[in-house]
Amino acid sequence: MTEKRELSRLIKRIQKGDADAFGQLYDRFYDPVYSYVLRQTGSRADAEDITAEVFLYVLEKIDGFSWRGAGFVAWLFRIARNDVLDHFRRLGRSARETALTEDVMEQPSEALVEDLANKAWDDRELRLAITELTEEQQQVVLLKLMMNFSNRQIGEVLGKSEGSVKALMHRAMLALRKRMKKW
Amino acid sequence: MNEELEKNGQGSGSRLQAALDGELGRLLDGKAGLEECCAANQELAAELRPLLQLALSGREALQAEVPTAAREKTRGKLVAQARSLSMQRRSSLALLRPLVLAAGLFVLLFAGTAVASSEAGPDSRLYPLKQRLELAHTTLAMQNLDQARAENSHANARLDELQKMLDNNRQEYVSDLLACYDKSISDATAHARSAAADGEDTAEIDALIQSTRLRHEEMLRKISAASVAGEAGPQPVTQDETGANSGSAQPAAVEPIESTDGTGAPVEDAAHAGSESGGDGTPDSGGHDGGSSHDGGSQSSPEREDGNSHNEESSHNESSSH
Repeated sequence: MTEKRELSRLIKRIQKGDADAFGQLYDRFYDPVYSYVLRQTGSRADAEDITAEVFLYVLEKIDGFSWRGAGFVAWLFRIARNDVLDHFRRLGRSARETALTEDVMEQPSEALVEDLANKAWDDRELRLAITELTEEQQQVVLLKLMMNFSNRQIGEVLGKSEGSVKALMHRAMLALRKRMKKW
Repeated sequence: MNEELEKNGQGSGSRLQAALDGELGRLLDGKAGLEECCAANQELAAELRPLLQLALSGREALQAEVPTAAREKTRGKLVAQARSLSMQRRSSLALLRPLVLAAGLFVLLFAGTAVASSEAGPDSRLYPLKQRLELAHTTLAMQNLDQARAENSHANARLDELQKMLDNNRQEYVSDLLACYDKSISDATAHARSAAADGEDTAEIDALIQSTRLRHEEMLRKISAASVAGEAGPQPVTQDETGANSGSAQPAAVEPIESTDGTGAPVEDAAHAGSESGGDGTPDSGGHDGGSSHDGGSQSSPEREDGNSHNEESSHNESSSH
């Protein structure tokens, strides 16, 4: 059975009131949603809260979901993105800027400090570079690189055309390359 | 020259964008390695390679360790919420189902036929249809209170039919109708008791069942009184030219019927309760009175009986909706 068909069956079971099916959906998508939210908020506590809100919203609204366009996954991440935006709206604009770097500015471990060539440090630098992209470029990078979304799916989440998504990805990668001087 | 360079720049930018888009998909899907992607775009390889390498590094850098404890804690709460929502939806659906399915049956079986069948007595061709509708009505009632109301409604329908058969001098149906009444009122009582045991407020249904029993007792008294009058000897019956009886027609002698109040205990002998029949010995054919507290007043009319049962359902739904 294709993945899409399997997912479609799972959603239908949930819509019929199968609580265990909802548990399976949760198991399948919790990690990617959490990771996506964490890379935007920089806070594990906030990522946990927002991810829980995302799945609660899905539970409440899934009865009205119908498969069209890019489908369920795009819908899920659109919810996640909106929840993150709401989160920052509540906190204020400056909080967002702080949050984006919070993750990368956390106190490095002793081992990390000792070995500046450690890959982990490079990863932190790269994450910092991503936070310096525009909001739309960040979204495209996160959804493409973390979730391996198609351009169509990314377009569904962001409300953009596939052409715009391609262009955003191109500009984002050029900007990252410029920022990461070692590349 | 500058325009040409600019145009070429734009052209190569577009080609790079297209190459990046295409190869990124293959790379991230694991369908091709870095070198393979660059080899497929040799003239752009120098620019493409660092961007593809960056994409792979970015993917690794963005992976986050997900705390298991938080995931499991939220999972438990959400699945419990999913179960609760599911149960709520089922019970809401159950309250609506009698209405929905009754309406569906009504449409399917043609409005006219269904209305006609609601008035049908056991001597009618439509009576089996009426019985099926009542069975559907009871079957779909999911909760004890709903079932108690449905059965009480059916008990009243039996009494309506009984009255009609008595009016039309169709004594052969009386015993069966009373037996069916006994079953319906007994079931109504049992469901009301179950609802009470579940902690539900059964004041309304208890009052309705009591009214139905009082009506039943009234009818038994009349039947018995008619039976006694019949045993006193035949009254003069006039006949018209067609040979049909007219004037104060007398029903055939009706044997006293013993019945229960639904709990298995016999009711007081109706004959000793005194007669309320008319002077000529015929049982009253009008609606009963005497303190009935039906929400729709007299139940002798099938239309009003049906109307009441719908109203009962509606009010129950309105009061019970979440």
